Amino acid sequence: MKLNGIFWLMILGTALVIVMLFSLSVGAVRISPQRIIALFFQGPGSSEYSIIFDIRLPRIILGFAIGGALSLAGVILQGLFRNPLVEPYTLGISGGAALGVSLNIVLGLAAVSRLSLPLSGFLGAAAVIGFLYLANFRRGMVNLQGLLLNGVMISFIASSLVMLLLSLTSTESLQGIIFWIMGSLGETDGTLIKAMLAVSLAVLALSYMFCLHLNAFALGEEEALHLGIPVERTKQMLFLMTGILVGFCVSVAGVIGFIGLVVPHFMRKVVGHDHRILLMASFLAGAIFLIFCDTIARTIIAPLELPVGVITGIAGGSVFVYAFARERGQTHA
Amino acid sequence: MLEIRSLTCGYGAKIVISGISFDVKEGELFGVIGPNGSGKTTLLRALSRVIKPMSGEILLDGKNFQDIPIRDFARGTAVVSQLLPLVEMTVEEFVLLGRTPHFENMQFVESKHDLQIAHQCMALTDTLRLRDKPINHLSGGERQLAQIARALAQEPKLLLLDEPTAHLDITHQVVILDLLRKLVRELKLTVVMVLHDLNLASEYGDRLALMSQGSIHQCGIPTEVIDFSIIEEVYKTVVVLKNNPVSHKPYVFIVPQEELLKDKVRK
Repeated sequence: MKLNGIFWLMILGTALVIVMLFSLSVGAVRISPQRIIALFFQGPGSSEYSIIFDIRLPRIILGFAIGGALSLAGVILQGLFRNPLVEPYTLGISGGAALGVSLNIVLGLAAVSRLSLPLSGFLGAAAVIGFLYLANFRRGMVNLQGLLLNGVMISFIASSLVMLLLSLTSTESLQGIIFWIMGSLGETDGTLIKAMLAVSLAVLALSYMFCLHLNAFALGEEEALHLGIPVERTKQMLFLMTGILVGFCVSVAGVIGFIGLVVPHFMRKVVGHDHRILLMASFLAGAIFLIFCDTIARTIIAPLELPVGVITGIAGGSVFVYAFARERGQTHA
Repeated sequence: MLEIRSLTCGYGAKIVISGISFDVKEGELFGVIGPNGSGKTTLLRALSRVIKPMSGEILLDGKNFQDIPIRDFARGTAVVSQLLPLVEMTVEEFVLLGRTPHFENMQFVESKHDLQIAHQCMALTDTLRLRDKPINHLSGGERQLAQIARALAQEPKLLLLDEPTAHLDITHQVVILDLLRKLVRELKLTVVMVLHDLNLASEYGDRLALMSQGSIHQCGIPTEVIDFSIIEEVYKTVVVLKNNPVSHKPYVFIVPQEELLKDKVRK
């Protein structure tokens, strides 16, 4: 069982390296993997070097951080709520971020500073996290179902408000908002990318402090308590961790759907329910998936770029439906 | 071992049990009985720290419950409830979860020692042969044994059980209660269990507490508690009492209403 898990992590690690190399080499200028390695030792100077290390690599790093983060947030929330249909956006955090960004665009604040967009997104997300936290966590005992319902309602309210803004605003702002909502890894600010990577990796490390807690949660909250898990504190910590993670992702890259819902689901089928393996496996698989989809998004109709959310939905959804249909076919045969 | 001092608790503002006091001694098999809604399960939930007392206190080895960190508590007290895991896991994985409270702070993988204990507990409960089966595929009796194995993997001194024989056939009722008695006699465990079946409680309990409307009606050895006048008063049902010819423990017979009427006519 354990060996099986480590075997899967090694496969995923290898796949990640391959996808990264593939993504580095394709684009408007094709650069072979051998050349990439040579360039790495050669150092800066050539135009190929700057294509690889200044344009493509930051984007891949961002894909790694956000894909991993969304998938990790999904697996944690699904474990916490014991509900495989919960995803990072269910709690309304993305709705808050979308509302923040829409307001920003409509009010024309983006002209002041480029960084104001992610900042207003994060403020929107933080407002939702803060509200959910204050409304649900203060009395010591958290009703998770209530939290979920609150989150879903906030999602609705936020998306209605975004619709309202869309209907009142000019065509230019309209396009800006819609493009942002569809999600993209086009962020080029180096500091933001580094911050996103740091947050992702930090939460991944922190989540391992709770992997046994999440395993015990599979038995139910009461049973987890019987196993000596401080249930209320764990719920609080995991909520804050995933909230911050999702808040960061949405403010940097917009709403990239599908990953947080389906990658954890898929990984559960593959590596099993043990969170000691599952957390890492989901992170890696999410990273691989987003880097791959983003590579397709920016190359398939080059020089134009498709919103990556469209690719994650179409590619991921089809693979998922196919895999489940095959699995059912096998069990019936 | 366990001292309950004028314990009152409930849910929200609703009081379910009030002013309960009793002791559980080390190395005894203590049964809690009573009609539906008398507060048995609420009492067990208070003893397992799922709900907090509104007033009164519970002492474990002389220490107040609130002063024991939850993980230390779980190292000495295990609970067997009726809840099943919602994910598919094998019996072995399920039993290994019982080792959770014993993990060191940065320990992620179970040690050889943990595996060894899990296997001992499975052997003791005769579930070792089921170790690779998914827990949701077991029969009711096997599942209950696996639950007990997981609880034992916590290496508890105190074991709390909520209706361990509910919905089981007599084979498994006897297997499970014999096992609990063996744990008490040989491993010096202390067991508190909620039971519905008066006769099983009478047969296996060293001492019993009979609950009625949120308080303890009678507490003592089976012959003191399983008395026809007490049972008739609490359960508001006509019963006849005889002793088990082998164990000489009291046995409760119920009487259908039709038979009661016939009996009156005959008189």
